[in-house]
Amino acid sequence: MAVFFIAFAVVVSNLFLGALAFSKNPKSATHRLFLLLTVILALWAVANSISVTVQSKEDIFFWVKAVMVITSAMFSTIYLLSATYPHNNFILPKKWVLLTVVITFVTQILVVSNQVFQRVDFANGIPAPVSGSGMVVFAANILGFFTLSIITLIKKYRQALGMEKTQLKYLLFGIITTFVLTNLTNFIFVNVLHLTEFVAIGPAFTLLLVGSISYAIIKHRFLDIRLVVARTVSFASLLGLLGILYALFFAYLSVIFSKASIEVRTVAVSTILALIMAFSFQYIRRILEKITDKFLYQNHYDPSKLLYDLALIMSSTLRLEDLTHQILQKLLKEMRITRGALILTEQGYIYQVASEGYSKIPELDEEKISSLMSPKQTIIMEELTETDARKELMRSLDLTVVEPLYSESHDIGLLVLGEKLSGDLYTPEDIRVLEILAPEVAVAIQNARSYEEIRRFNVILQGKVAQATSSLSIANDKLQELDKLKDDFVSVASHELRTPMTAIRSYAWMALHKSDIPLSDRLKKYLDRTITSTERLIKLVNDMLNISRIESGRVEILPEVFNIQTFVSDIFMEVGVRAKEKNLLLKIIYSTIPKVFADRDKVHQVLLNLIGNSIKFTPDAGIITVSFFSDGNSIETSIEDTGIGLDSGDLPSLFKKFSRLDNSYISSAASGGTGLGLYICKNLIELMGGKIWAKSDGIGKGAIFTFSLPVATNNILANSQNFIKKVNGGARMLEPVAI
Amino acid sequence: MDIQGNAGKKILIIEDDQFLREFYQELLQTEGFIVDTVADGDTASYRIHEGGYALIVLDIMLPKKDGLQVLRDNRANPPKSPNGPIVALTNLGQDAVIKQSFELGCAGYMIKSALNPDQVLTEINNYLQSAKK
Repeated sequence: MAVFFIAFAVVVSNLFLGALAFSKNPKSATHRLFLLLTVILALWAVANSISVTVQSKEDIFFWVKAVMVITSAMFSTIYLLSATYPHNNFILPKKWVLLTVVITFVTQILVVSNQVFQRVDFANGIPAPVSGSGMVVFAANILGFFTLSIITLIKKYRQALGMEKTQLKYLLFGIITTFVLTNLTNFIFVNVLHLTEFVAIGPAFTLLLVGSISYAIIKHRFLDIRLVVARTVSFASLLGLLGILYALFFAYLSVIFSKASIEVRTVAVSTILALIMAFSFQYIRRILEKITDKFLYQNHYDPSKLLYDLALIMSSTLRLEDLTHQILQKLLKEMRITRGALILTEQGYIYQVASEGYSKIPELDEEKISSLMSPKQTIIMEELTETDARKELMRSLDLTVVEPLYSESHDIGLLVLGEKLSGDLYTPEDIRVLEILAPEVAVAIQNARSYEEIRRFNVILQGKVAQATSSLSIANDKLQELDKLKDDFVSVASHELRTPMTAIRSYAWMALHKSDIPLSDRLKKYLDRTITSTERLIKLVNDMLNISRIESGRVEILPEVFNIQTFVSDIFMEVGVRAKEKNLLLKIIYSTIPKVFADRDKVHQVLLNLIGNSIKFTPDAGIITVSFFSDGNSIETSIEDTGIGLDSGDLPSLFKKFSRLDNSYISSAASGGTGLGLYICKNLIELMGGKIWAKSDGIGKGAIFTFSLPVATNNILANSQNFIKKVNGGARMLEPVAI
Repeated sequence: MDIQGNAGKKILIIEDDQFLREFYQELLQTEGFIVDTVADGDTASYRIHEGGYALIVLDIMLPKKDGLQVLRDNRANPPKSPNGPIVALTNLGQDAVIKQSFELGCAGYMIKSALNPDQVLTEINNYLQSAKK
């Protein structure tokens, strides 16, 4: 009976572990070999238990041979597993694998052809197999592969690091103890001491192998099936215990009620049934869970599609915040992960955390970041040893996987993920996807940051430009205001100046003309000069007032179309009296010219100024001639006199403010000039879109002053707004020119 | 000088500057006019309201009340006995002010600094002459 219990336990635990490992990664050679080994161990347990139960010589011999066929393959499988572990491909050369298979096969042929055990004898009623010459080959097979396995594993153990080392330790322990003990009971005892009583318990020792592998799995994530095993073991133990209790209770009740001694077999059958029920319950539950899983969340994702989708997100999203959230959302949805976060750092300092699914953003300080960042490789919480400080840290923050993000030059941050929705562990495929993804995410984040920086810089720049513009416009407004204040001051000041000047001139005039005593010639001369100087002073104030108005932009230009030739003849009427006093001839040379487009009042001001100058500087009986010329675009008006003329050196400074003519024969004092008239003319002509210039052949040879004005063409009239200058509030008229 | 026979007519001079006021007064009295003088806007309004002047010469910039306001008051409150034309006397070459004074009933304007005393007399006689017509 005990034989079957042992066999049952061995079969169940072996097949369970094998199937579980295989289902986790069916393509991996290691997982496949592990499954094969568990199947062999299970078969051995079954065959072995039968071989010690059957009675007839022939049956015993048959089952002994079955046991030997199975064990022939056992250590070669262990060897292949040892050599392959933990890789997913066969790393042994094909020749070696083939040789292993051939050796196994040869051994098995020897067993079948009765060369290992020739027959079974009964010694004292106990069956004793008689070994043959093939036993040497069999022993060599077992010992050889065992030794090879141990050597291979020790070699690997020496090179392995961390978790893998621990796993290999358990694997080694399991293989050695199982080999030694099963060899004792099933080989040495049988062949050397001819003791077969212990054969039955042989398979039980494989539980050591299974147990140590399980321990490696549970404690150290061997073959990625830790969590399921942990759950199943606790569940299975509970149900197993319940099954046994049920069986015993059943037996007890049977004894009481049927009053008959219950057969051991009945108890055994019911116990087995109970256990099957118990174990199958777990299995069915798993299947149901899987179905609901599939129903609730898509069970499996396509890694290449996920990577492609994420690459699309990364290439199409420029804003950092959108990018981080979209990556997380996609990743969590597809991999079915409870929560995750992207913690971005700059020189070790966190500057942004994007999280999805965390009710509270994982609190990481710079120190913790650097501890998770330093090895620059994926950290999986289960793989860390209990003594590792990071394990406690990750556990407290609900982090299952930490993926560092870094570029060639510097660290970018961390991708941290919580556990999966299903409660499963991260598969090697998941980890591989994350490892492929990490550098891409790092680059995308870096790009997004650069973009963000440029964007921010643009915003700052725009702000600065706006600020500069506004302060400039404030400054401009202030300047305009100051200009206005200046103009207002000049206006008031000139008014205040002109009142006493008018009084001086008036009383001087009265003294000269209405005196009640006869005046001497000298006194008359003094009074005359007083009057002339006062008049000059009044003109000066007027001119300064005009300049102030022009310079502060308070003079309006309102152009109209008019005939400048008739306009000049009107002005000749105005100055006629003065010209007559000096016996001057005023002449207009008429020509066929178009009309001008200019401000009538301003042209009046300019002509009065220029003709007034000519009158002033031309001796008695001189001639003043005004002539016109047009090229179709502009009209040139020239005022020519036979006056004192100009030195060529004076020409450039003629139109400047307070230009003093060094070479002029007549002082400005005597002429009553202000030195401002031509400056005003130049400004007014330019405001109207024309030019002014002077020519002279030298002192005593007369002078020609010419100014141009635009012709009133259709084109200019169509764009007349370019010639109009309006003043917003407070436009000022010009002080009249005194001849 | 009195070729138009304007002598003996009452003229009101409104000018805040003492020297100029006395100058105009003396100039016109020599010509035989009866001249009243006023130095501020308030008194000017009062005198204009009393009426009886053949000509009123009104400075625009005045203390207490400016010339434009005097013109407005005159319009709102017509004089007891009628007055002759009002002529603005100014130093300001601002057409806005001149335009306004025309709108408020001025018959003309004289720019103080631009005129010699004999030109002032010519102007005044011209205004008196045109008022007769």
